[in-house]
Amino acid sequence: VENVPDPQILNPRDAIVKITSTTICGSDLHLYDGYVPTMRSGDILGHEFLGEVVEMGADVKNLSLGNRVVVPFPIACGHCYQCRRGMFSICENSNPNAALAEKLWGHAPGGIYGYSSLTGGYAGGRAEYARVPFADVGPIKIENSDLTDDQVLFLSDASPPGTTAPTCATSRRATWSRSGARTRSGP
Amino acid sequence: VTVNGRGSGVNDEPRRFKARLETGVEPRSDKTPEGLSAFRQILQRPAQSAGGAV
Repeated sequence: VENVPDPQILNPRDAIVKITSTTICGSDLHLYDGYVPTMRSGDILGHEFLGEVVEMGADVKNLSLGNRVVVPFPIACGHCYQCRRGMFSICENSNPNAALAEKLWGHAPGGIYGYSSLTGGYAGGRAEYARVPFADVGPIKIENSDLTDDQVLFLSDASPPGTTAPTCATSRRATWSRSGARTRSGP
Repeated sequence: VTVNGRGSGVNDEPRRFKARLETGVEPRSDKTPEGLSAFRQILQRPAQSAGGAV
């Protein structure tokens, strides 16, 4: 465990969240095992977390200080072409290092917390505080105080793929290429 | 893309313009606190707050 500087508001659409629960995801093994390059010593990992909003930028209007929020792992601007289609994980604006990812993978994902430079270089949630960019788009308010952290934490990552998979499997508009990449076809 | 001079700007500026136009802000991460920068993509700092050293 290391002491690091507290995160700061860098943009008016940022918020700072005081972490109350976080996880270790199976995807973190890809970082640990070196399958995802561009990690650096000192990187804060953790892309699944929830906590309390303790600071907000001037443009975050949908949250209030003290709100309990689950933070989904994709960082999405909410305004680009892909976000407007609901494809938040490939947001065109939230990854400042998109050019790096395009060189390596052929396309760039949006930003992801604590997941290497290729996904933007954002600090993750395995810390006391985390900066949440575009906080007016991603965080989910948990207004039912009866729900424990363990009951809602997985909304940050594990639950979305679980609910998306059946949708993809039953979509008539989606086909799968031989490489496994999802492509679109006619109705 | 080169790490200095105009080469980096060729890559950075359209992305910066698009981000500002669509979101009103320039995306900044903990590794790139100054925003989109080809130079920073090559020489990354750790993903933790710069602690006011932006």
